[in-house]
Amino acid sequence: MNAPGFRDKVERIEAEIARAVVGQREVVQHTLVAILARGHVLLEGAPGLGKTLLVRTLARVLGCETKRIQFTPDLMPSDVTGGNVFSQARGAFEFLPGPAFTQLLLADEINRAPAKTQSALLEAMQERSITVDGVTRALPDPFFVIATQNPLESQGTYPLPEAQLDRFFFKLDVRPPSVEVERQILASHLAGFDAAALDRVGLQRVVAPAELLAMQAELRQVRVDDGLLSYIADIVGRTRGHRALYFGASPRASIALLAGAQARAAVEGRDFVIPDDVKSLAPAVLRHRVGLQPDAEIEGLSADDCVEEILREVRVPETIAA
Amino acid sequence: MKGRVALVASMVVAIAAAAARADEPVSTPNRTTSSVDGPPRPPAPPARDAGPLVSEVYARGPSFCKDAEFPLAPEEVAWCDLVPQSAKAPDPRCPRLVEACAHGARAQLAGRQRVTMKQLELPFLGGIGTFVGYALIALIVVGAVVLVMRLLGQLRAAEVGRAADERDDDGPKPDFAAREAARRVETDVERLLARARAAAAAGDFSRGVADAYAALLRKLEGTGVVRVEPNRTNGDHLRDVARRLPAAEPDMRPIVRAVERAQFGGVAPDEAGFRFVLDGVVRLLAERLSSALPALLVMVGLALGVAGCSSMREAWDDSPSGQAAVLQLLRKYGFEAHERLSPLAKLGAKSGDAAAAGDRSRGVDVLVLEPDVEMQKEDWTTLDTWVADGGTLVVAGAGRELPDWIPAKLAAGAKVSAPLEVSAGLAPWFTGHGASVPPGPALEITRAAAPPATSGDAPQDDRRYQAGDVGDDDDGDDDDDDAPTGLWPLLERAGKPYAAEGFHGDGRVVVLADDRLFTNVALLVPDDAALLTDLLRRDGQRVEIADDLTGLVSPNPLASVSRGRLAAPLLQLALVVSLFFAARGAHFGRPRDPVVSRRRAFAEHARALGVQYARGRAARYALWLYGGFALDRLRERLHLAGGKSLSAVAEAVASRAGRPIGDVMRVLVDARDPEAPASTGPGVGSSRSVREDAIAAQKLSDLATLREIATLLSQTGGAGERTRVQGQG
Repeated sequence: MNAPGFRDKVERIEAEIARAVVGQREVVQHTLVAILARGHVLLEGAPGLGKTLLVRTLARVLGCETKRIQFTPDLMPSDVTGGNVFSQARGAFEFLPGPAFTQLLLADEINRAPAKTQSALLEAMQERSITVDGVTRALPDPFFVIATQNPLESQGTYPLPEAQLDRFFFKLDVRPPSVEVERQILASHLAGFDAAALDRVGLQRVVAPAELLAMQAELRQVRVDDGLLSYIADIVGRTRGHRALYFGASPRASIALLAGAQARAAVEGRDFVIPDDVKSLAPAVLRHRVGLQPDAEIEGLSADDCVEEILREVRVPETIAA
Repeated sequence: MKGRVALVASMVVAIAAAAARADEPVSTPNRTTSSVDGPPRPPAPPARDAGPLVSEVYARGPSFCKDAEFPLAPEEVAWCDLVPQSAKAPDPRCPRLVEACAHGARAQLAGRQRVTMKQLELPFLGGIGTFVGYALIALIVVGAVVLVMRLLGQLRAAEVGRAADERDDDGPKPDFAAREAARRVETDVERLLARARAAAAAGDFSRGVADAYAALLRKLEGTGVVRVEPNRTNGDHLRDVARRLPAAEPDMRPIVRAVERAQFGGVAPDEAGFRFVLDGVVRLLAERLSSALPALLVMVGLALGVAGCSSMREAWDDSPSGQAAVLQLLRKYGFEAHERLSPLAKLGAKSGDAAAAGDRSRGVDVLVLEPDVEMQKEDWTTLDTWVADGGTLVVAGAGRELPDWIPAKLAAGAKVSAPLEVSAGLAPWFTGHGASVPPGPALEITRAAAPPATSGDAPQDDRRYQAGDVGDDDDGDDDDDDAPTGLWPLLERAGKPYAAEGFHGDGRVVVLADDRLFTNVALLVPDDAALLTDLLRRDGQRVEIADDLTGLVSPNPLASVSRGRLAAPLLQLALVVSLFFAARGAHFGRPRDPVVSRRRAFAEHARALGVQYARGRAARYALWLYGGFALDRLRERLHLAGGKSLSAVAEAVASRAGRPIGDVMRVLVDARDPEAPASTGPGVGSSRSVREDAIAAQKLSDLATLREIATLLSQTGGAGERTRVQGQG
């Protein structure tokens, strides 16, 4: 594996994204890690923090076909997957693909639709295919979903089912920018930047979808030490017995943590995983895959607090600490 | 000019005297040749010319001879006219003294302090304070002992580990876990580095890299830059360094990368890799030391500043009023001269007697009593006995109250200024005929005695002046020795006594008006050194000078600290330590998570309530209550309030949740109208086990219904609804 070359490509992608998205460096980097690890991302944050802009920019920089679904309470599953409609010309039903048939699907405000519509994406996200009326159709490759959602406390939102949440590789919290970053956003706005007209920014495609697939395949060569497998298993396993959690993360979380760590190692220019890769990605992998006990929730604990506590308890491989 | 003449005259006299001594070596008054009962004493040093010895002593150049700005005290300036020097022809032995003299008096002497300063005195806190002081000292001692024991334990553990490693090298392959455990407990940086080098020398570069990196982490941990804990990664350490020691981060990053490649990259490091890590670690450790150097220099500077505020004893000893040169001269002359530190009460046998007992260190022949010795009544008693037994006491300074057996005191009146003259009849015994000291009070002899008559060059009417007839009297005439004796003048100036001499028992007492002959600067005055050595030479070899350090015992620890001038440095040290711990913090024990006093959670209340329902066989009642609550919420959320039928509710819920309407309807019916309790199900005649099984089955069914209702509530959503159902999906 050419780790330095891999890193160069990722740095070029990040630099191009930074032309449109000011700040949010960690969110950008984590999103790239998830995409390279063939994962889907759930971005949560208040409106106006640049979630949609990030996805649109990503689509242009990665050269992927992109479609957007604005989730609303009356959105139906067939509005996502597509359906069979009667063709008068042919005199038969024919399948009309929904917006899910794309490479990068932006599911905007996904928690504004009811559960049955949200669940329409389950098969697409896991099997990368869609079944309508008994016929299964494969989705394009690469395929990944980047969903945005407003915090659950917002009015008119529906919680995502656990099954749906578990299929998201990362859940990333998009936080308000710092004063300095906000000042840069304002300066960019003054200079004529318009988020609604990305064409005028002149964003360049850095990699083609085929290159992206090659990069995804390359990650399999990233080495993972045995001690790190135990480290990952220990972290995820402890979510299942934590006193403040009434359900823990599934083995799918372990797999996601492993794949994410490999992707992060490659992004950092390494061909081997280190404990830092695991530790830094654990909150993003686990925070949406665990359920807080009601009493813990009442006491103000969050899933991130529990994950942090677990990370403080688990011994890092090869440490010199007695 | 006058000084030159005096110098030439003194040299002529000295040469003549030396020639005379050379002609008559046997007649030298030496009372240390034998003792009647005891073994022979060590002989007194033979007569020598003191002038060259003084030049030798001053060849090393005490500070006042090299520093033209040396601040002289008025008492020292008084010597300036006596030293043969002038601006054009300074004394070659002490060339800058003339310039220092030209500045006049610029300092004050207070005791043995040249520059008076306000010493930080610790207050006397009474009995409790003393007790607390002793308790603190005991605690410190115990703590030090514990610390030493722990360190010894660690050293022993390291030795055991090293021995195990050595055995492993020869024997079967080592147990990796045991070696790993032994490696992890090592925290000493130097030992880790040594182990790294040893491992590399043995070809184990992986272990060498790990140990070298561990040394770096331990060093950084020791300086508070990183925290080494089981959950912290190399990246955490790197971020700590970037935050607290930004300059070191660029150098540390490549080291960490190399270490991680060795640990997780699956590539065993080679010698070059090990060298890269070790060199980087050593460089960083050196940089850490150099970064700590300014702080160290500040500390040293502060300490020196505090030290410079006080006059150190060494500085005093080398000053014109000190005694370092005097002691050196006496040693060069042949005396065993030193400062007496042990109490006078321990004044033991004379050197000859002590030698007979195999302990020469206890013997003293001549004791010089300086004015600043703290004398108690018991000390005078001890001296009385010691002198009566044959010791020679030189009381340098009669300003203090002297006991009856030393009948002398300072005379009242003006200061006397004139060269010293040896009393008539005793002159042949002395060579320092040109000696002089600055003006001062005269001595008054309160009980006079006639000086011993001399025959030729030696006093002959007193046995103590006869060679071979000194020491203990062998004629049984002890009563005469114990009788009060008088003094006769030994040295005079302007016809008034400056020094007096007398016998006491078998010993001799010499009293001087002041102690100026025993100062460094006096040696520069012609014939003062010769007079001094003549004064001490007659009675033996071992000379001790008792001064303010003699028998110095502090009444309590605080006084000891204060007397040692340690109060200011200790308080400064305490301040620095306090600031350090205030800045860094310190554990006073093993860190533990704080005990969390949780209030009873809402879920626990709910659980307790559920248990009460279960005990009351009212589980179905709880289901009915929850079902009613859920139906109300569903009607609210689906905007079906106002008497809509259950089927309308089921249809709306099914549409929202994407579930078959039949399933939803069944759940809603169960929620609204729970069946009869299972406890009343199986009737009379059923066996107990059958009834219990039925109840258990009913409970499971009710629980499933509750979960389904909760699922419906969850799937229909709503503001603030965040209930999760385990196992869903």
